[in-house]
Amino acid sequence: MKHLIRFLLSPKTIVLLLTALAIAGVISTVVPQSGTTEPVFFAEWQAKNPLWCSLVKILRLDQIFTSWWFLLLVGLIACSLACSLYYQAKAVITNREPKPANSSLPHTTVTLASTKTNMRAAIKKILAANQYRIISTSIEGNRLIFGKNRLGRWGSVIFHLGLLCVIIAALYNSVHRQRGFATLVEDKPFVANAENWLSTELGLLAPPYNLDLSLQLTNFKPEYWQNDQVKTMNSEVVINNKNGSKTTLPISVNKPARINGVKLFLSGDYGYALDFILNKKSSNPILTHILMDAQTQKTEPLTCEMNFPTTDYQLNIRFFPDLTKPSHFPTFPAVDLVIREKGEPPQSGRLLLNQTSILNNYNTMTLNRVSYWSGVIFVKTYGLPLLYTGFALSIAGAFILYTLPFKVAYFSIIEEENHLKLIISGRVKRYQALFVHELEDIAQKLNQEVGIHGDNATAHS
Amino acid sequence: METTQLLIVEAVCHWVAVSFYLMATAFFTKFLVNSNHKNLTSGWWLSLIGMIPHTLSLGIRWYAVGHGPYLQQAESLSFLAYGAIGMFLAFSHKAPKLKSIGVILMPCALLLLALRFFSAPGNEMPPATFTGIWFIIHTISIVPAMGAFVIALGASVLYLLPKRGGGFSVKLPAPEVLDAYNHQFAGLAFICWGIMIIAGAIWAEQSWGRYWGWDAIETWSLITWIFLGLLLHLRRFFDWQGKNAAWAMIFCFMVSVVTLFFLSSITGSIHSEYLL
Repeated sequence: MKHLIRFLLSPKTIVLLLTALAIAGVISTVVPQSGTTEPVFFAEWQAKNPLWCSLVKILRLDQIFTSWWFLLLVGLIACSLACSLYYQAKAVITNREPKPANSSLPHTTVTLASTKTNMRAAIKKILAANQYRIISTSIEGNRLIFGKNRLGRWGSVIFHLGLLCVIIAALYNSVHRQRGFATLVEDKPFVANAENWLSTELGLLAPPYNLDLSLQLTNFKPEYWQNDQVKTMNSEVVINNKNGSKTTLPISVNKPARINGVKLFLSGDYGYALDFILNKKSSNPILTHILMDAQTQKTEPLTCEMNFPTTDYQLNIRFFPDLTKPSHFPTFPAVDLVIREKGEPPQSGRLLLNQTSILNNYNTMTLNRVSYWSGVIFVKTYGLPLLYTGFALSIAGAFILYTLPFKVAYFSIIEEENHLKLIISGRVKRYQALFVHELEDIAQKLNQEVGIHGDNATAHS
Repeated sequence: METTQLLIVEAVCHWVAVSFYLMATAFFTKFLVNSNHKNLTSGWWLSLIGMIPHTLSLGIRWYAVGHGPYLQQAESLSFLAYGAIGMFLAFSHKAPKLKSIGVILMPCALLLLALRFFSAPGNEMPPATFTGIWFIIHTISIVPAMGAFVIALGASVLYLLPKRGGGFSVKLPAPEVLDAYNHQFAGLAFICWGIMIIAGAIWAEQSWGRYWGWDAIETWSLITWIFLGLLLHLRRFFDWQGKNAAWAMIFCFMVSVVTLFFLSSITGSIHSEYLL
């Protein structure tokens, strides 16, 4: 156990682990990751470079951040942090007395023509002006120790505690998190269950994502900037409760709706859902939704090509959300349709909302409804309070560590024949050269205040 | 005044600022040649005067387009240069030994301003998710982070310059002081870069319910932060001072440049559209 702790505490181990973490990050940008790359790419890659692809699969380099070795690496970093934190905190708590002056720092000597009392008063005055506080005085009063930024001793502890909190929260979340993506068409009920998600992101030990929640999106309204770019989207979510009642919650981009610990986010993707009804003489009417992505500029028409499900019809659609302005509010929507059927000449024309077009063989097609659709993300995140605490602690800790270094200044008064000699030295962990200059400035001020040579005197390092 | 007129005034202010920065750079370069401290002081004052039209240019653009200087590449580059010069002036006012870092910092700032002209500002407005205080902190904290990076880079480069018997190096701060400044500003860059990552994570959590997605630029910003952390660890535990620390800082700076300037153009990421 001692060996393990020694290994985890070793600075070499920390450097090694951090380097490995950085290298893993670099690999993740070089090797395509399975979450963000199409499966077809991997199939083609496998065919071209079977050996290299197999190696990638074995080492899970295509899924680095969920691979066993990456989690082990993060786990080791967490253990190393925990051990280091324990010893750092112990050291700060137990070592209340300042250590002797750093012998590698140059000592500054000032020769003084003053009484001890006057000199001590001058030292205290000048040090107080430099935000130093007295830590201890020897019994004879010949040795004074001052400290600055005492909080600085805690900087490293606070920073590393923050990092540990962040890592624990992230690991906890990576095990349990549940995210489900869905496309909700306005006013169409949606049941948030495993079989209905467009895609999911689940933690390593998370069960299938079943929320057993029935809801629908209503009053979806995009707002636009003057240049027709979308500014924001506002909507409402109507929850169908099990007792038959309904709960309505507002939802907009960056302002999620919260339902039983689940947050619902508007993803920012949205567009139009066009409902077409095909009435065939030979069968029942067929209803289909066509989801079209909104354009960056609201004035641009939307186009798509598709096969009408279960039929031979092929549709070429050019959709104008509003013919009168044009605007994104679907008040006067219309589609320019080109309909092709095998063996028949293509038919084309403009179809307004609720209008019906007569096709070959007396079949008809109706533009039945135009509504909005929006991407909605259903999220269960774990460990957020711990994560935010970690964020706050790590930034506060880093700030204390690198902007408020703990400084100790030692003043030793030596009585010589007809004058006093003052030796100034110090101890600091960071920015020693700047600290030496600070001590020299203090010596200069002391010289001016109570020095033997008056204003012209200089301090000697 | 109409938006078009305002944007003309903005461009004029920008050019005036660039002219002052060019003159400042000339004086800093002259200091390199003749090590006359008057040149250093003149360069410093010209940079300060250049900040006035630069502030006006950024302010006018903000007013005219209705969003801060963080959305379009041209704005971001100008804002980064502004932040770096502003930080340099503020810190060197308090610690005059830092003034010589202007020799490195001003050409870097001018390079950023020159790059600005390769990306003409359009009239794009922020997408719906680009709102909230955490988004603003995320985009703005990069400015002090890069400012601190450039100052630390300046200290490193000056440290590594060959020391000759005479010439400019005589007038430069002592090597150990440059090393201490390198350390101090590496620490500051570490804090500001950390704030940028954390603010981005909180913003992403509030926008999409996911604080970390291992997006390429997210990953590389973490890598930059880890390398900075490593440098600070090496200084603390392996006594990396002087040359080693200076070269390590230059390496960290290069990683940060890759993260900010190059990665966005070669990888698909939410940042790609809006980053530099």
